[in-house]
Amino acid sequence: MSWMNKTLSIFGWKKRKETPHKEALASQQTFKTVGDLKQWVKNELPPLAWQRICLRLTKFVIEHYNFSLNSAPDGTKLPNSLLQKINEVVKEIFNKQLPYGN
Amino acid sequence: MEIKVLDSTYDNQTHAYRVGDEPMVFHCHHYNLFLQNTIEDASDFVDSSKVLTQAAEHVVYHQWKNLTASTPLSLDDLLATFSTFGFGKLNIQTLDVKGGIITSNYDHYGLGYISKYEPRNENQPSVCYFTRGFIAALFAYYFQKPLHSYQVTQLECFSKGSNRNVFEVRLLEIPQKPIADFYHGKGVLGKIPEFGNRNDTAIDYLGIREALTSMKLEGSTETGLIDAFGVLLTRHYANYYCNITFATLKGLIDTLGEEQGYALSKDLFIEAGHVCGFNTFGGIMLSMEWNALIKPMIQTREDWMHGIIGCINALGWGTYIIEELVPNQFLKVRLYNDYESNHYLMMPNKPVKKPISFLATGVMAALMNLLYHSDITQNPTLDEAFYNKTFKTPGKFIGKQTQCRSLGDEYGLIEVTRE
Repeated sequence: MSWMNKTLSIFGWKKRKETPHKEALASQQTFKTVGDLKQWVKNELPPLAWQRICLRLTKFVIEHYNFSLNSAPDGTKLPNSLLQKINEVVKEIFNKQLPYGN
Repeated sequence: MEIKVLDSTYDNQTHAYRVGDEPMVFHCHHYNLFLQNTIEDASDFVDSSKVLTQAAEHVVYHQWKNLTASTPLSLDDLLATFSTFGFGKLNIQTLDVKGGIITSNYDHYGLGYISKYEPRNENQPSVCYFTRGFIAALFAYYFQKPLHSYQVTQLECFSKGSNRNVFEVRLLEIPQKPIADFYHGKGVLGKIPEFGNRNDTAIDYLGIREALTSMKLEGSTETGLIDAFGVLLTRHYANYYCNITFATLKGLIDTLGEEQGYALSKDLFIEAGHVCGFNTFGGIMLSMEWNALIKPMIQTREDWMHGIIGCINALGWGTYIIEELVPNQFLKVRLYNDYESNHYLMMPNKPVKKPISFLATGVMAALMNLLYHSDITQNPTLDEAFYNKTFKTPGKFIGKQTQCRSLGDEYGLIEVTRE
């Protein structure tokens, strides 16, 4: 236990969230590419979450954006409208929110 | 006639339970729901609602037909099937040849769902597809109609915050066409290997099989649910899993092509195997039954693996034999008459000529991870954090199927190595 936590625990207080700046950063994060998004999914969601998202959206993406989500190279740019759609799916399946606001 | 599924139906040669020629296998609500969710995710590629309901109706209906060539089953017998296998309890409110209303205060899928996930909203589908299919089979069998003669709609669902399920049943003017080719029956069986106790472990394989197959794992009288090893268990239809899995595999391959469709399906169905291995076998290895029956035999960490493989051979999944286990490094397991291959070999038009024992592959990787990567022996809580530790951290084990009966091999072979 760090000195600060020790001090706080004497008073029965809890330390503030360890890295509030991380949250602030995340809220400003922009997903410019498929690679950015995949990295976030890998870090934040359960294993194979990316494949489940692809399953949900492959047809939609092919129809509206003319590329395939599950085989798109990491550098593929992500339009905001698609990010919104992906966010809906992430919310529905995993009850989480993409930090894509910009 | 009461359907006693545990009465002398375990086939020690092929390690299968068969009731009315249908192989029945134990699986937990975590696996059942993850697999179902995955198939729902694929609804752009295959009509998942119809696949999930019609596959259920198909296997249940044919089981009853096979059970009762001479004397038809009574309504009570049909309802008892649902409860005995752990699917819950159905209450008939109204019933005639034109349809009826069925309610349920206990349902494996509905209650399992709300125990795991946030409630669904009104725009999302209800989750009790299997129950809908079961009810359709019940009406078709009881009123001697062809398969798919009844439309079953779920009006209320636990997954949407209701405290019960309600189903409306309606006779169709013309039976629906099945959305896919569904199969039933014991499947195509292959070689029966020698199975028994081994020299390289203190684990008593035969004793475990005897003890577990003698356990009364049936739905409780009150709820029709099987609450065991920290999960809700079902004694489910092996051909149901295979029908829904392979119909989805076909849908994905038809749309995305063989390479992409197979790769995506394989990853997701193997992940379902991870979910199963983690929850069911993790649950077993933390259970009182494990502590009482198997732990006293354990002398080494490797005995944990032998102990849990011993348990698998009592679940009706086929014969699993460890060919090689290198501590902390490598596992090779043979599958004889695994239920996925038995089913796949029945299919005249196979979607793909590649290994298809997805569940077995995922489960074997899960066991190595539980034992050597995240360490089940330390009595952890099987929660999301431990799941991530088991499957998301560097150096985890991954499974690969290197032989499969569907490719002409005598037995399936799963190899598990660190990534």
